[in-house]
Amino acid sequence: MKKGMHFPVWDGGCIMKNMGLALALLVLLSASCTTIPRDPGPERADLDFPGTRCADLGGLSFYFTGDAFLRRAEELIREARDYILIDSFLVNEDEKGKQVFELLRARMQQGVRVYLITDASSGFVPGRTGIPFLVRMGIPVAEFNPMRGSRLARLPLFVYRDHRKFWIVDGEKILLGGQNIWTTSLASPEQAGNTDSMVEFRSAVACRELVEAFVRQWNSYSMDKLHAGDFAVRPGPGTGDSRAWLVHQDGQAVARRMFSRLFDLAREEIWLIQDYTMPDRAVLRRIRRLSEAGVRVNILFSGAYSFLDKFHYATGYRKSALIRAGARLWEYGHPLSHLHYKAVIVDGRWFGIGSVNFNFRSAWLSKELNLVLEGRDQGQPMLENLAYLASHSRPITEEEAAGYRGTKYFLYYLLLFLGG
Amino acid sequence: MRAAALLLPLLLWAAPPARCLGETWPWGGGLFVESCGFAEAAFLPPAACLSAGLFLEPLALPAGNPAVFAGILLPVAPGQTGDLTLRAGLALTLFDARLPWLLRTFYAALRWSPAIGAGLLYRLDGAGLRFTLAASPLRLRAGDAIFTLCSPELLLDQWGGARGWGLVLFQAALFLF
Repeated sequence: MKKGMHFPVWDGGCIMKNMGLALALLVLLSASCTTIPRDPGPERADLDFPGTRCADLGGLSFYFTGDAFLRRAEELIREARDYILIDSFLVNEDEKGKQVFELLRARMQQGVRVYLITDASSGFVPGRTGIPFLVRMGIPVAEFNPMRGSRLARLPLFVYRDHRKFWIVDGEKILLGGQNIWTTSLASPEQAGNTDSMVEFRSAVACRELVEAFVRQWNSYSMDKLHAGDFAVRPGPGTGDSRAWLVHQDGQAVARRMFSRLFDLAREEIWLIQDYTMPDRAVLRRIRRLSEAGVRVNILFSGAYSFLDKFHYATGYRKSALIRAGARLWEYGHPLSHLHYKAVIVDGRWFGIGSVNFNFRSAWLSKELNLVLEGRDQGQPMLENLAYLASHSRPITEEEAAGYRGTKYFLYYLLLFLGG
Repeated sequence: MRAAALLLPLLLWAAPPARCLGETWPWGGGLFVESCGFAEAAFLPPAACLSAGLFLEPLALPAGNPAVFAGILLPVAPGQTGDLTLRAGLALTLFDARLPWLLRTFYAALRWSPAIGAGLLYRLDGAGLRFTLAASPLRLRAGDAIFTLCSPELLLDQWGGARGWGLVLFQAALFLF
């Protein structure tokens, strides 16, 4: 090529043309990624569940308020003998956050190994991210996918977040769910803390998978490398026939398959306790099909939003379409407490609990972690809690939902569909 | 072909990462962007340049860790689109050392990670070729990235004669895979 010759890549028109092509391809790519697979799976009840079967699972306990979980977390920290691994989407330097961190430091000084991974989103929520505080206290912390000017060249990947919340104590006890380490999660509902949940259980199968995932992620973002073999895993207490699955989205899109499989199993009634439900057309079609087959689909939204009122607008935009598809919508009536609990209950027999929201972001753009249980005996506390939540909820009418179709609702829906 | 060549990395970069990119250990490589300039008017105009490309660091050795890189370099201020230049070479991380004050300053666990390197600059219009020797004493490594400040380069011609010098003001090398 001669000097001065025009190189097409840098021609403005050519760039626009190429960008147009790229955008068109990206739109096609996004259109192929629906929140739930377009079609139901085969009509076979014996198909195994997406995720890791935890046949050795036992020792189930549920915590449905922040203060109940905080009490248990403090107990576990005090009782820990060997190590504590925590992955928390958000950590904050506020009253409850500091309470947990100070206890962790005290146990570290007594020889317990503590490692904490958090998502960089902590720096983009109200309050002060807990990372500098943790560093000052000497608690080892790694930040997943930092969002800083120095990483600007990785900008499209900023959308990928670690939304999981799990604790592993001594290779034996696991807690997972929706509760972060900050006052918003750990205060009681009466103190305006979220209505949220964590489930505690024991399973060597789940523990091994989570320890390995934790160490892999830690080593990717910290210069102080760990070895999974240094974190002993103790045998699970179950008899080997427990019907439980760890649905762990760590690079593969399994959350959407979890919803799809649970919907396939439904014969009578589905309860989605999912305030961040943002359905696309595939979801609406599936709900319509379920309704036509006689399955009652209930979706429970929050009535209080605190600083999260953007989600009221984003989820409001499709409420009318959900009702038209046959879903029954409910609004939890607590005046202070935001409903952050993420669960799905099918026919009072199948139970999903964890971090997964029913939206595109959780389906494709986040690391997520859920536990799925089969059997009324295992999920009885979730049924009792659902009865409580339902008795404190009111139906959302079609007229009310129609009022959520304004420009503001639409723009927030567009924004939070990917970025929420 | 050129459109496809541009589209492919763009799609790989921007596609839903849950499917194709995530964290891994050890990292194998990623992309770099840098701001640089050169004092060798016979080869490149006196301008602020931007460079971007891909690098591979396959071995993750604690010392003497090699990496290869290739990318393009373009004078941007003032813009000289006709001077598009290929940049490729080898960098050798000498060691990674823990410096306690780095943690207090940045609150991420960084390591001092000085490097030396050698490479070439090739004008895509065929106007010339230069070899480079670089030293990067101010280089910090995080778990997912390497940051370089004020890295001087010596420009040599085909026969090994010194022809000028350059300076990489800032380089961010971000691991992707």
